[in-house]
Amino acid sequence: MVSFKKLALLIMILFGMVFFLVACGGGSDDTEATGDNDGEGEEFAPDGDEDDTLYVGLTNAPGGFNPLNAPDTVAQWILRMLYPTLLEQPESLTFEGNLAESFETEDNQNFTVTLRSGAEWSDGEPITADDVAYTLELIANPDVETTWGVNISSLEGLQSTGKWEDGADGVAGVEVIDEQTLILTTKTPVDPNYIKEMIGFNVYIAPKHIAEQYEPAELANSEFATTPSVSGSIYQFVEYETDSYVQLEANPTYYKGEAQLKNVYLRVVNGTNLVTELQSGGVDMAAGGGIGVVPVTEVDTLANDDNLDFESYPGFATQFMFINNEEFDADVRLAMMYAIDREAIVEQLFRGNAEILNSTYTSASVYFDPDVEAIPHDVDRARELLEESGFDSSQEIELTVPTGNRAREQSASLIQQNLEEAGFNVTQVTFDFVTALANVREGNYQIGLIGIPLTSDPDQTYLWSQSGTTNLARVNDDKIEALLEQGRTSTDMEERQEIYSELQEYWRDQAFSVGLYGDFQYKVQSKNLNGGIKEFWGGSLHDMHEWTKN
Amino acid sequence: MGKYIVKRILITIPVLLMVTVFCFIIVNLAPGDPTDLYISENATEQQIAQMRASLGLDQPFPVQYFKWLLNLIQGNLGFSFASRMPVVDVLPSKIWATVTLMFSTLVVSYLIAIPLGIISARKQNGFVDNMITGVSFLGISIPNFFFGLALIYIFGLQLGILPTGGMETLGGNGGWLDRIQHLVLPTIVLAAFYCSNMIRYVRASMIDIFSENYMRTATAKGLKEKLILWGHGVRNAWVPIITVISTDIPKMLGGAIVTEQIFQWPGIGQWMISAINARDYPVLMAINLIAAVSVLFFNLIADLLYAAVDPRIRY
Repeated sequence: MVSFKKLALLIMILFGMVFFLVACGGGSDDTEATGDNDGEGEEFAPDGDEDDTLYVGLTNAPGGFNPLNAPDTVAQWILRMLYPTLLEQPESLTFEGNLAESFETEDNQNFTVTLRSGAEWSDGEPITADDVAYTLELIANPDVETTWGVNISSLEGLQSTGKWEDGADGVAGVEVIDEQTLILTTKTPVDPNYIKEMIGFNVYIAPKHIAEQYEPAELANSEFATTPSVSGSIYQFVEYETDSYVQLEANPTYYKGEAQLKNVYLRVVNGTNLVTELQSGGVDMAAGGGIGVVPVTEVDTLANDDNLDFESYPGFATQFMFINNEEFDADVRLAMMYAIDREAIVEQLFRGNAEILNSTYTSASVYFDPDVEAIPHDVDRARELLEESGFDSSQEIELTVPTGNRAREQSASLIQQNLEEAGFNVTQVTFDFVTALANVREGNYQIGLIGIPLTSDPDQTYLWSQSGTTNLARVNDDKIEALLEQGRTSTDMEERQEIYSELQEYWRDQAFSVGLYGDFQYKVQSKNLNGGIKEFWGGSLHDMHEWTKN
Repeated sequence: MGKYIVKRILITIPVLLMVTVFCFIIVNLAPGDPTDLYISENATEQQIAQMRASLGLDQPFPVQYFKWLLNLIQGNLGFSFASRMPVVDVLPSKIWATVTLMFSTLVVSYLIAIPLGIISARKQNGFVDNMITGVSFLGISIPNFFFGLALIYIFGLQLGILPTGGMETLGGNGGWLDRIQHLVLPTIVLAAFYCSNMIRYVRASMIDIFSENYMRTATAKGLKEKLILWGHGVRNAWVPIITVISTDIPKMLGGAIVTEQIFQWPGIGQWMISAINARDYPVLMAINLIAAVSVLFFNLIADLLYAAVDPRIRY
């Protein structure tokens, strides 16, 4: 048996060595570890001698490059580099001209859009008002698969789906005046910011002379959608190696001037790899914004790395504990809200890099009302409410937890514990994300954790209205319908702010669900990069052509 | 022999059909609606229905299957739900990446494992044998995600002498040296397992053979040790070794899932995981099909090789 002992000893020594090496470096982030990175670690930074190539880390792969159909944020982000939009949005709800020189209205119903002169597609064709009109027509064409239907649905002649009415073959609300001018007309007057964001900022203008080569119904699966040949924005498409990287190169005809960084590689890596790539210089920046996310557990390591710039900002990414309103009435829901210690979640899991949601907006939104305070953690109040409600608290409640987001999975245990302290009887049921989402969507759940990326426009009809397709909480409430309707149709920003303040207060008091937290956005990038993502993530790319590397 | 091969290939066809039916059922039985992933939060019912139709999910299940099969016969594996690219266009680069990694792993593993296994068997229970079995035990039991991350940490981050992931330096000039550097770490991680596994097989079968009567006879005849070992010993060990190799190859073709994930290796394994998460049915079916074909193919090759190395086996 001597040999067995020797063997055991050998294994222990070997394991010990590996653990020692790993543990040693992990703890001392700001001393030897980064010291080493400074020197030899740089060797494999592939850009060592190429200062005109940008490497971006993404944690999700793009779902194609179709300017008309892009449900995922990654594709939307890359499309912004490939196709022009009428407007830029450097800060939330502050708009600047982009392809459009001006975007004006006198009556909040007729919007005159004047395009800048001399803009060209990468193949030299001019970008004209016809391209804009054709893009809107494609979106409205019932044969075309598109994610932007709702965006343009306020235009005259379109149904609420954004498709034109039966028998029509064009959009009544779009009129081309000349090569550089067109007029957009809405069904009723709207808040200019609404149309500026929904159409001006979100809709990518597609090249008519390319798109019209395909049958509208075939666009979504065509080369137009997967390997675009003509671009009109900062970069043009070179190659996509599925789930691995996207390669872009500067568009020499870009109307704001050719980009300084001539090549861009967007690498698809998982969260852990993103951290090592940032440390080793394999990527210059994380894409942030929910699509290039570093794990919360690694935030301290990155923040202490001498080679990296690290900042965090409130963003639009949120996590909710959706409550099936068909199963729980307002008192029980409010009891849940009181029971959950959201402060502990934010402190323990995010080390402060997240905010508690008072209701359904994050502090990044200009419609967020700081006077509507979040309901505090109060177990006694929760118990009281639960008793008053007459809810049978011995009843088992299933908490649906999707996998794939570590912080969310960990929060589930805290939530379960909190709810049990208040007298609920909770069991966790874990599914992969797609299954969890499908169950929640079908109303086949009681309470469940789901993340929702919010928009800068405050309209949340899709989430809390009975007609909303993402009405996961199955809300059916007349007052919220009325408030959503008022907010959506109001044309004045101040008036909207008042309406949405009321909505936030009402939403909180009714506890239609529990807004758990809003994850902060991280900006993590090499100190060598001048540029990168901004506090308002969605507008980060407006000056991308000026980014440089030292 | 020729007749045998034809017969085997003919048997393969119904087997493959069964496999595709089962895979199709299992893939489609997975809970969750792929449509949910490819619409935006504010999509209307009409858009959802349109998306479902465009993915072909509005058809009854058997219709979906026969459409898929009909397309397959024409060499069309459909469109990836996630990227909307034809699956056949993406497949070659994924297979190439996985085959590169697989090939280097198997070559390294077997070059190390077969001699070590023989040595280990010859010096049974000696110090060398204990060392070899000890290390191979470690190689099998160390989780590859841990081993991989440890290697990345040491060679990629601390020493900075090897890349942390990917198949080549993006934007670099490529070149074989660059590719080999990218291959080193994932190959080590995979080879640690395959090599250890093989050592144990070789050792076990050699030990069996050393106690066979014909080995004793050969020794008694006064044959040279080398001849006994290679001519009588190793030759008889080939049958179990071929069996292991023929199961190793398809196992790897199915993708070294964890290792490919850790090293961002753009191969089948990584593709499969993202396809599962994205409920990308056409991609999953294609990967299943390749895995099934390769299992059947390498089993056939193994059977043919048995006959080549062991004259007692005839077809």
